[in-house]
Amino acid sequence: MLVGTALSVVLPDGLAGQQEGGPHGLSEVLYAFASAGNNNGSAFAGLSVGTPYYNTLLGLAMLVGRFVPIALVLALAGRLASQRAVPASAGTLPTHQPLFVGLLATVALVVVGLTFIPALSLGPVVESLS
Amino acid sequence: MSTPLAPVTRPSAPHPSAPPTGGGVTPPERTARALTWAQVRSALPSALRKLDPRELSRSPVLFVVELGAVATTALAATDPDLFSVSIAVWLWATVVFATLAESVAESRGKAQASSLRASQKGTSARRVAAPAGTLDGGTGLHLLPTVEVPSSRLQVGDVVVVEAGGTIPGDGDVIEGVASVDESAITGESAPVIRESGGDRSAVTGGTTVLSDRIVVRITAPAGHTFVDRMIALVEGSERQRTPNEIALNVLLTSLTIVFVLAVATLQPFAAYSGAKQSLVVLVALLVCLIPTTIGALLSAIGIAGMDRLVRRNVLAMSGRAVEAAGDVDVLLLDKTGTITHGNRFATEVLPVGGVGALELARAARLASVADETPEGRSIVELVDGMDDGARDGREDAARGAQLIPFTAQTRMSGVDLPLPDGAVRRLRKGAGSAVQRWVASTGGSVTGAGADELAAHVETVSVQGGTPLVVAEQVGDAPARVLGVVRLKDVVKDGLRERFDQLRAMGIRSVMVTGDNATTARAIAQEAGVDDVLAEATPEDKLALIRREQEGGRLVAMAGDGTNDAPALAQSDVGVAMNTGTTAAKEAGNMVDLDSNPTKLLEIVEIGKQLLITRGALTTFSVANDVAKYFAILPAMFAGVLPALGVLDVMRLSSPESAILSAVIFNALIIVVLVPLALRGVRYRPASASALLRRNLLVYGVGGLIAPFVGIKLVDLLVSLLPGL
Repeated sequence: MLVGTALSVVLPDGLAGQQEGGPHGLSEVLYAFASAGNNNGSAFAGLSVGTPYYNTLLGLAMLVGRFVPIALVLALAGRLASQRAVPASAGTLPTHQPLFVGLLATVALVVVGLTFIPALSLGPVVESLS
Repeated sequence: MSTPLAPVTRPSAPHPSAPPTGGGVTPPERTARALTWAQVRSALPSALRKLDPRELSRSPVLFVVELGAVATTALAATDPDLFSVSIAVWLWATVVFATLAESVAESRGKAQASSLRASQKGTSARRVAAPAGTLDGGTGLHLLPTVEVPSSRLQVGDVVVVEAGGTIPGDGDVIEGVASVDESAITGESAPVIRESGGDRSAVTGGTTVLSDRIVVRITAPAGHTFVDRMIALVEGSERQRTPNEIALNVLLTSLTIVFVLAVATLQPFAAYSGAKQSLVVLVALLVCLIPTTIGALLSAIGIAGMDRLVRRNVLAMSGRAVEAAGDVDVLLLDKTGTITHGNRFATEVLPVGGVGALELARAARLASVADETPEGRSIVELVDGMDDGARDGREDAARGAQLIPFTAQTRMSGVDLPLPDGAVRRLRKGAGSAVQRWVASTGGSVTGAGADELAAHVETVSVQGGTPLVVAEQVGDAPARVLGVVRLKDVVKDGLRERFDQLRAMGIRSVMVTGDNATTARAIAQEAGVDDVLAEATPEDKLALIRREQEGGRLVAMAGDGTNDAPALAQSDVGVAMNTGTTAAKEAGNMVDLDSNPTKLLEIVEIGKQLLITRGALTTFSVANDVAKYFAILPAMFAGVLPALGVLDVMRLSSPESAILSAVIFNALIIVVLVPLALRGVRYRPASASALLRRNLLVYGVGGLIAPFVGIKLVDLLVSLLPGL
């Protein structure tokens, strides 16, 4: 997603698709790749994605954004399934309580946040602040 | 030496001058060495050696930092200004601090290794000249002619004589004599220990010094493969391999690094697009701040420090894997004798039968024990002396031509024959119930009627309550012998164990007591000590089967043992702690050796293992949580110039963009130094359930990790802003 956006804002083909410049243009491209990779593949109206360039790149983002996580989660599941169950005791961490759920959510938020904040801050964040 | 009862299978009484193995549950940790400048100075050369990219590439995080440092140095060299030069300097500092942390951790072990090595240097041995195969213990070997040979030339099976003041040239068994030995070179324990031929205390270690008397030692390990050699290799860390847990964490850190490299690499196009193209120096600074340098730098130091903590408690772990496994242990197998109870039994009560007076029984028991030097015998004398002043007179009786009947495995009794004034002989016997009754029957006596019932009842009660019944009988002249009564010998549970087991339970660790006693006795002691489960009348096979059963359920099992018949179980268990006094087979089978031979230390080993894992987790959390604040420092600094709107993100109000970035980098480097003592010492650990521990540590290291850098970076910024030109 970041790689795609980065390419799009430097390559002339990518820049050509944008209607607006400045932070909003970045937001448009970022959103297009985020949506293609993780959601329903929608894009801002301001971004003309009907070009071979965007179709190819967004298609790739879609492919990678879906199948790589699927493969990873399947691998994780396989790994977990092959491990023996350890009986629960006070020394094991219950996974169905707020503590663990909160921990998992926080870790995911922090790691993802750290990855995307720079890009976001240049796009949507600047837009909303200015 | 006579033993009144069935053979005691364990290292018996703590000798008065032996190290405090039996008594204390928590041996005081040896003086914790604080981090000193001398240590850091001596570690510096090896830290600089570790900067070699080939070595550093094993840790991808540090490798990336080093690459960044090289790049910024090149840039600073071509276009020097204060900012890029300072960034380059501090990046190098980050790498050096990281390698320094590892070197300091190693140096503690090295100091110990060099003192060990000193003990080995240049010792010579007095080898008995006769062919080794012809030599048996107990035949006056020290009288044979000896030849002087260097200890490095000794071979397995050689027999050497060591006299007071001499250094024992190699690992071996004492085959003749008794000596007090100073083992402080190995154990750090300054009180000398007794080493004697036969029994549990026959093993001696090369490099230790004989303080008094003379012993004859048969060498059991070839030169270069002695215990000290192995120990040197271990504490120096030269045999250190990464543990599975470390590898997993390294994979995590590597993938985080890759993600952040991508994030930073793609940032430049965005920045260029937004009209705020960044210099490479700034991007490298951002990258270094983002990747988890703190934990990457301290990871191996934490592992080494864990081993070191064990070493300071006189436990040698053969692999880091064993230390980690100790932290995950679910079940502890503890031998009753020596671990849960003191190795010996104490008389606590006399129970007369068949109309015999308590005093009469007490005096008889005392007489039968006066010359008995076993702890059990001494405890009877003490008990009776405490309850009856008149009994002291018996001392003269014992002295007048009394003949001692030592304990043998066949008779299972001991006692004394006293000549009476009229020429007859008074025979006193004490021993296991069945053995004494057999003896009584053999003299024509019998135990019948109410007396018999009473005797059986006493024996039964004492057993059920976890004690050992000792039956006392008397024969005067040729008359039939009669049973006087029963002395209750009690297993004394070590102090503080109940609390320890409660703590273990709170941590989710189950303790199982293993004993050869019958089920009733075992359960009574188990209840007193507070262990969760009992394996009574255990054979080595039972032990092995129990370990297998627990492991099939997915649990990790830890145990301590010393005998050869413990070896299979030690090998099967996930954490096998062998006692230093134990047999070679046991030491080979276990993955840890306790130099103090204190099986209760298993509990501490588990705590150290847990502490190691928790320290690692806590610092990882801290490291990642730190990043948030660094973003707030660096991002506004990078872009606020072009996009003033981002200025609101600059919550710390840092003085200038350059100082903000530099402060973040400096903080990133300094936090490593600040955390080195914590990594070496380990996070504070208190026994609690996993959830409670996690909650507390998340609060301290997670939330703390979020907040600390805001404060830290601001402080550094205040200092940095004083520099002219920034």
